[in-house]
Amino acid sequence: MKKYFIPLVLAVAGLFTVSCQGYLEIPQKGVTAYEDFYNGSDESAEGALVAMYARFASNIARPNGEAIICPYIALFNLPGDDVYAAGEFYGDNDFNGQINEFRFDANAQLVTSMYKGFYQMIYGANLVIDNFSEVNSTVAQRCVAEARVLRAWVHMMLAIGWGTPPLVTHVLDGAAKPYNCDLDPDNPMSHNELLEWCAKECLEARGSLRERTSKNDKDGVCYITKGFADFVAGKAYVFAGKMNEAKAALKPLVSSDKYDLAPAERMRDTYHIVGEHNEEVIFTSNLNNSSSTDLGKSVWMHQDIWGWRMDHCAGQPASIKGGWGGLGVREDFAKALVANDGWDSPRRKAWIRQFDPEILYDMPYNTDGSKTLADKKKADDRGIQTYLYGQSEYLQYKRVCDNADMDNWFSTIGVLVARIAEAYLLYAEACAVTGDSDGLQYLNKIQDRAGSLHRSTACTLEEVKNEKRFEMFMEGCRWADQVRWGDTASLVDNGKRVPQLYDAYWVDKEPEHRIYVVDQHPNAGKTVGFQTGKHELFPFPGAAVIAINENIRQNPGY
Amino acid sequence: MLKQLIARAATIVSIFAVVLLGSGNAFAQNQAISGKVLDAGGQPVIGAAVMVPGTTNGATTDLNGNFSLRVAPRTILEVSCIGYTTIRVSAANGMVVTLEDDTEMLEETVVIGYGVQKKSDLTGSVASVRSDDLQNRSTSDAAAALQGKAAGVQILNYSGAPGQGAAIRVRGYSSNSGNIGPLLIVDGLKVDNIQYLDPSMIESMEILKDAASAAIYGAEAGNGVVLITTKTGASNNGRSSITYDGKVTIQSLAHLPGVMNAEQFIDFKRMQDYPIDDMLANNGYSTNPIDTDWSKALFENGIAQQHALTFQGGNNNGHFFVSLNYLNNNGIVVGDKDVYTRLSTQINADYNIKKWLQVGTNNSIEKWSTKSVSHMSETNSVMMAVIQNDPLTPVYYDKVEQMPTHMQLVYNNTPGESAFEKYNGPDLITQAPDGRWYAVSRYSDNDHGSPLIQLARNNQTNEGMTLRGSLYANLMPVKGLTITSRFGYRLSYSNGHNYSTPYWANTMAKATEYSISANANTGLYYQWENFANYNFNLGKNAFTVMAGMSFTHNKSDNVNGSATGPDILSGYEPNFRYLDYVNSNSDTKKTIRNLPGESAQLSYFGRITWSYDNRYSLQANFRADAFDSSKLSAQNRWGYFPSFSAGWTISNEPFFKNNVGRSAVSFLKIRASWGQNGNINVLNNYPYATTVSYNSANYEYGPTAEKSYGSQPNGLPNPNLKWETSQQIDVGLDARFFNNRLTLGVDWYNKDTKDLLVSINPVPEIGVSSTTVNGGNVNNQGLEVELGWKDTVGDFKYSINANFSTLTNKVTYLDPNISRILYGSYYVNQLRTAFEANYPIWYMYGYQFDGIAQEEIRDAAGNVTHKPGDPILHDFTGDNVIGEADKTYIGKGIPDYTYGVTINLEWKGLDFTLFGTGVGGNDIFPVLYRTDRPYVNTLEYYHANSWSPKNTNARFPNPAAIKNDTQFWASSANIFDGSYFKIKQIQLGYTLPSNITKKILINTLRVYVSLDDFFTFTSYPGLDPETATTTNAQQLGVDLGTYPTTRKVVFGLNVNF
Repeated sequence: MKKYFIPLVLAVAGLFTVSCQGYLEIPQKGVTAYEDFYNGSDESAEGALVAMYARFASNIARPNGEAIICPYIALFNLPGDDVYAAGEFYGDNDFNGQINEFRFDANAQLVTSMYKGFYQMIYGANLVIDNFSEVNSTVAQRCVAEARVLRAWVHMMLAIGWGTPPLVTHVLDGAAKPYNCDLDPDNPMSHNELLEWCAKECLEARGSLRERTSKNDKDGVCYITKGFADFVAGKAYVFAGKMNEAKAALKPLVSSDKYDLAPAERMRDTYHIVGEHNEEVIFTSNLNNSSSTDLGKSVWMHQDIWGWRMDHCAGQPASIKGGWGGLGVREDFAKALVANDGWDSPRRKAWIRQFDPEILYDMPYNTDGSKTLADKKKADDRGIQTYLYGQSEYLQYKRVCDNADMDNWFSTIGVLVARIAEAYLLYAEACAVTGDSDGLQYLNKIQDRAGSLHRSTACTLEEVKNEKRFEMFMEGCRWADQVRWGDTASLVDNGKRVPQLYDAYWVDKEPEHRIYVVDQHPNAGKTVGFQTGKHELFPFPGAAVIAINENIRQNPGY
Repeated sequence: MLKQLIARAATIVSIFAVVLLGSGNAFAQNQAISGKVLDAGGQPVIGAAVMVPGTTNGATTDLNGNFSLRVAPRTILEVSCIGYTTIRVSAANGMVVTLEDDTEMLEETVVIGYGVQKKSDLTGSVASVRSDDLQNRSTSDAAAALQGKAAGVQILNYSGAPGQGAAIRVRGYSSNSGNIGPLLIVDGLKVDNIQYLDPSMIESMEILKDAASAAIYGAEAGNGVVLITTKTGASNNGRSSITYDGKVTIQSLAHLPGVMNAEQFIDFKRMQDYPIDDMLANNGYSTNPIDTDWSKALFENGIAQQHALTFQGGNNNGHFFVSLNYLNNNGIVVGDKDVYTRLSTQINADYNIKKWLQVGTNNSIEKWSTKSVSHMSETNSVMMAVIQNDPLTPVYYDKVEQMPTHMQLVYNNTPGESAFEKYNGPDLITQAPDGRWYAVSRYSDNDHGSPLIQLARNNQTNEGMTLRGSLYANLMPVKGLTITSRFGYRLSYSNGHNYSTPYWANTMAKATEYSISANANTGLYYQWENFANYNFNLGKNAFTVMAGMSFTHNKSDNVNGSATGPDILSGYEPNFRYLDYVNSNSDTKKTIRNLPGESAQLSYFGRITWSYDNRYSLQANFRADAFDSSKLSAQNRWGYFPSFSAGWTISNEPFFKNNVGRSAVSFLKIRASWGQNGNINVLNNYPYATTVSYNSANYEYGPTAEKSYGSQPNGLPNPNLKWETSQQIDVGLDARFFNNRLTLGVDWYNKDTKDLLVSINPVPEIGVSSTTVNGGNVNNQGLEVELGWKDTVGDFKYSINANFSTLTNKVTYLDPNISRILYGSYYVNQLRTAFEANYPIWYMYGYQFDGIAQEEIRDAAGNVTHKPGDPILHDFTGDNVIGEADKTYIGKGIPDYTYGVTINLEWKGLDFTLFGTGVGGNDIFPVLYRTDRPYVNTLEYYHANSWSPKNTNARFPNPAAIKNDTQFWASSANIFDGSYFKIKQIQLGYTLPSNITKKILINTLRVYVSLDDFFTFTSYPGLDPETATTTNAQQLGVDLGTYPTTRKVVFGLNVNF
C-alpha cells in the first residue's frame, strides 16, 4: 500500500486542480459582439449611423411603436391658437383634445411618448459619438458630426418643450438617474445655456458635414448637412435670445443657393409625396415609401386623425383621402389669414379651404359628371349628413393627405423637420431684434411667394411675428413662439368653445346646401385653457420619469 | 454500506476489548459453551459481542457467526452488535441467538451531498423518505410518490394525464420565474427530471430543505435539493434475491364534472335571457329531445399495468442490483390517444477490488413514449370541451341530413355556398370509426366542435430514450480517508411526429391546411466530480472534512422540420405521412430549424463538521460556482455560497441523562442553521450581454436610394446581472419519546430570496425602453411538524406518521420602476395573476365583488346604476366607472398549509396502509364560464346558485346581468376555496405464511388490493381541486380545464425468491 501512497496522493492532487475554465467560454449564436461591431472601421461607423437614422425616423413618426399617435406633429401644433382638436365627438382621441385644451396632466400620452421618443433618438446618436469620436477617419468624423447635430436638435426640441431636460451626452447604463440640466451636479446648465450648447455643438460639427449639392439634390435633405447644422444652431440661438450669434449662424444658410422657396403653384407640394424633397426642405425624416415593407416607420394617424371626416359627409372631393376629422381650424386664424393674404392668394388656398364653396363645389368630385353649380347645390352626393365636430367653416388643407401620399392606411410622407422658410423667419427675427435691415429681404421673399396682399416695408418683430403665424401654420412653431414672445393671451380660452359644423340641406331638410356652425361647450365646468406659469412647458412624464427618478424636478404647476 | 463499515470497526474494537480485558481466571471455573449468532434472515452475524454483563468475560463471533466462551450454565449473556438490537439470553451450549435489525440504527445515516452523515449528527433540516414509504404505490413517478410524505415539501400534480410529471416545491415559492423546482440528484448525477425513476427502485429520498444543507450545491440549490439513492443490493444484508412486483390498475374518472344537463342548461339560458326557446323550436328539440353527458362520451375505464423484476445480491466484496420495470398506462380518455409507456432498467454494482479501492457504477436506461390529449387551454382543449359542449347536441350524426347547414354545405361540396371556398367535400367532416359522423352543436360554434373531433385529429406522438449513469472509484489510502472520483453522464434522444388534416366542424373549429412536422432532439451531459472525505477523532472531538471539485458540461442539438399547405404530401395514406413525401408545391410552406445549445459549470466545494462527545455539532459548508458565458459575464461568473449550522443533543448531556429516563425522553436535539443558495436557472441566453443585432435597422439616404443597413445593440448591457440568491435561517428540534415510540420533528424557517430577475422600463433618458434587472425579493416562512408513533402489541404492529407544514409567502420588494408584473390573459374574463410587493407571489388580480344589488341603486344624478340582481363590483377609484384601476387582490393559489397522514397496521400476515394528504387556504379560479359564447355549457354550480327574483339570497348575480360581463367573471365572486383532503391510498395486503411459501421456494409472497385517489373531500365544484391549475408557476390555481386525477383500483403481487 505504502508504495502507492505518494503517487496516489499526487494523482489525487492532480484531479483537484483540474481547470476547465476554458470550457466556460461559449460564444453566443446569431449575434455580433458589441466590441466586434464597434470596431472603428468606416463600415461600422456607417452602420451605426444608419441605425441612428432608422431610430430617429421611427421615433419621430411613431415613438415606442405606438401607431395611434404621431406626437411630434401633434404635440407642437395642438397647443397653438390656430387649431381645434376635433374628431367624431368630444372625447374622441382625447390624447389630442387634452393638449389643445390644456387639460393634460403629467401622464398625458403624447407628452410621455414624445419625451421617450426624443431620448431614444439621443441614444442612437450617442452610440455613434461614444464609439467613433476617437476614430481618426474622415468617414467616422462625418458620422460623429451628423450624430452630434441630431443630438443637438433633439436637445433643442426638449429644451423648447420641457425647459430644463436632462442633457445626455453618453450612452447611459441601466442604473442611471439623470438630473434636470440645471440641477446636474457635475455640469449644471440653465435652459438658455443648454440651447447655446446645442448651437455650439452644431457649429463645431459643421466642418465635417456634407453639404447639399444644389436645390435639386433630393438625397441631401434625407441626412444631416451643413445646412441643417446652421438651422439648428440659428434656431437654438434665437430661442436662447442670442440674436447676433443666431444671425451669424443662419446667414450662410439663408444666403445659400442650395435652398429656395418653391414657386407658389408648388407650395403645398412640400408637405406631400410629390414635393417631399424639394428645394425648401433642409431636413426630413425619410420615411419608407411603402408601409408594407416597413410599417414601423410609416405614420398612420397623420392621415387618419387629421384627414377630413368624410364618413359624416355624403361625398368627398376626389383628390383627398378621408379620415377621422381630428383637426379643426380656428375662425380667428382663418379670417386673419384671409385678411392678410387675400382670398385668392396661393398661400390661403394651399393652407386652408372654406367648406362652402370650395369643398362643396369647387373641388372636383368623382360624381360630378356634367353637374352645374346649381345642380351641385341640390346634390345628394355631397354635404355634411350629420355634423363635423370641432370644425369651423374652414378646413385645414396644408397637410391633409392626398391619395398619392398613402400606402394602404399609412401616410408615407416623411416628417418634415426643417424648411428654409423657418430659417428665413428666424434670421429675420434676429435681424429685427438687433435692428438689422438685412432680414427684410427674406420676409419679403416669403410674402411674395405666398402671393400675400401684405408686404413688409421694415423688418420689425411685429412684422416677423405676423408673417410667421401664417407661413409656419401647422409646422410645429406656433405654441413655442407664443410662449417665447409672451403672446399667450389668445390661448387662455382654448377648449371653452368648440364649433360644430352642420349642413342645413341634410340636417334641416333645406333645398340647398347651407353650412352653419353651432357652438359646443363640452368642457363647461372644467378648467381649460392656457394657464400662465404652467403651460409654458410640458410636464416631465409622471409615471415614466417623476415616479422613478428623484433627480428630476417637475415643471411648475404639474 | 456504512452500517457494515461501522459493524466491522466495532468487531475490531470488541476483539481488542476481549483480548485486553479478558480474565483468565474465569475460564477454569466455568464450562465451555459454544453458540451461533444469526440475523433475522438466518445469515451469520460477524463480530457480535457476547458478554456476561458487568464482567469482562465475553467473546466475539467469527466469520460464520460462531462463538465460544466459558460461563456457568444459565448465566445471562448480553449479545450486541452495531446495527442490531442488543438482547439478553441465558447461556446454553449450542445456543442460537437471532438478532433483530435495529431499525433506529438503519435510519441513522442520511445522504447529504458528497457524503453521508449520521442522522443524530445532523445540524440542518433534511427530510428523509425511505423505500418502505414508496412501495406499492400506483404512481410511477418518483416525485409524485413524495406527496404527503415530508413536511415542507409540496407536490403539485398538475394533471392526471398518463405520463404527466409532478412538480416539487421545497419550502415555498421563491421566484417570479417558472424555475422554482429543486435541484435533482440521483446517485450523485444531476438529472433533469425523476419521472423516469420508478419508486420501487429507490432506496431513499433526501430533501435538503434548509439553506445550510443545500449550500453544498451552491448556485443551483435555491429551491432546495432532492437527493435520491437507488437500491444497491447492500441493504439485503448480503442475501441474494429475486423479486417480482406486478400490479394492474383500473382507473376511472374520479367524479363526474358538475356541468348542467339539458333541463338545467335550458333553464339557465332562459335565466340568461338568451332566446333558447326559439332556438329549440328551430331545431325541433321538442320532438327529438337530447341530453348528452359528454363526460360519458369521452371517458372510459383506463387500464394501467406495471411489472418489475429485480435481482440483487452481494457479499463482503460487492453488491449487484438489476431491476427491469415496464409500465403501460392507457388513460381514461376513450381510445388509445392518451398512453404512456415506459421500459426502464436500473443496473447498480460495486466491488472492492483492493482493500483500498472500491469501484462501482449506477446506470439507468429508460425508453418512453407518450400520446397525449390537449387540456389546460382555453381553446382546442378536449377537457374544456367536456365542460363546455352543450347537452342538447348528440354525440353522433347518423345521416347527413342531421348535420347543421354549414356542415352539409361543406359535406356536399356546394360551390360558392360553403364557408370553405376551395376545400370542400365529405373528407372534411370527421368520421367515427363506425362510419357515423361526430356531431357539432347547432346552437353555438365553439373552438373545438366536438371533443371527439379534436381527439380524432390528434396524431401526436413523442418517444425517446435516455441513459443516465455514473462510474466511480473510491480510494481509501489511509484510515478515515476516502477519495472519490465520479463520472456521470446522461445521453438522450427524443423524436416527435405530428400530422393533422384539414377539417370542418364549424366556423371556429376548422382547418384549411394539412400540416406535418417532425423533430429530433439529442442531448449529451456529463459531469466529473472529485472529492475526498476524511474522518478523524481527537479525543472526544470527531471531525469530518470534505473538499472537492466538479465540472459539468451539457450539449443539446435538434432538428425540426414542418410543412403546411392545402396539398403537402405526395400521398396521404399512413405510410406517406413523413417529411420525405412532402411535395414541392409553391403553396406548401416549409420550415427547418436547428440551434445547438451548450452550457458548462465549474465548482469547488468543501465541508467541515465537528462534533464533541455526541453532544455538540457544528458544520460549515462552502461552495464556489462558475457558469459559462451564456449565463453570466466573465467578470461576474463566480458565486460563493457559505453556510453554517449547529446542533446540541441535550439528551446526551450528563445532567439530562441523570435526571430524565430514556423511556420518557429517548432523544432530544435542537439545531439551527444559516446559509445562502442561488437559483441560476433564471439566467439563460446571455441576458447580461451587449450584443449587436447585425443589420437589423435600415434607412434610405434619399427618395430613390437603396436601403442602407445598420446595426445597433439589442438592449441595454447589464454585466452586473446575477442569479437569485436565497438566505435562509432554520431552527429545528428532533425528539423521541417513550423508548423511541413517539418521534417529533419541528422546524421553523425564514427564507429571503433576493435579486429576482424583473423586466423593467428604466428611466426614458437611457433611450432603451425595457431591460432586465435584479429587482425583486420574496420571503417564505413556515413551520413544519412531523409526528410519528409506532408500537407493537403482541402480533399487532402499528404506526401513524403525520406531517404538517405552513407557508407564508410574500413579495417583499419590486423594482420601483414597475408597480406590478401581470401574467396571463383570457378572452372570457379580465383576470390576471400579478407579482407585486406585499402580496403573495402571483396572486389573483381582479375585481372585488361586493354582493348583489337587491334593489335599484342610483348615482348622485339619479341614473340607475344597478338593477336588482346586478353584481356590485367595488369602485376603489371612486370615479363611478369600474376599470383596470379598480382591480385588487382577490385570491391566491398557494396553500397556507399542507399535510399528510400515513397509517400502517400489521397483524400476522395482514397489512393495511391508509395514506391521505391535503392542502388548505388556497384559492381556485375556474376559467370555465364563457362570456363570449352564449350557448356553451358550464358548471351546474353557476345555475344552482344564481340570483333570481325567487332566490335572492344567492351567491351569483342574475345570469342575464353577467352573461357577457368580463369584469364580473374576473371578480372575487368566482373565487373558490381550493382546500381538499384526498385519501391517496387505502391498501390491504396479505403475506402468505413463509412455512407454506418456502415449500415452493418462495421467501415471501404478498398480494394486495389498493384504492388510490379514491376519496376527495372538497367544496370545489369543478373537476379535481388537486389538478385545478396550469403548469405555469405564474398561474397557480387557475383552472383551465385539466385532465383530472383518476380514481384507481390496484391489484398487486409481490414475490420474493
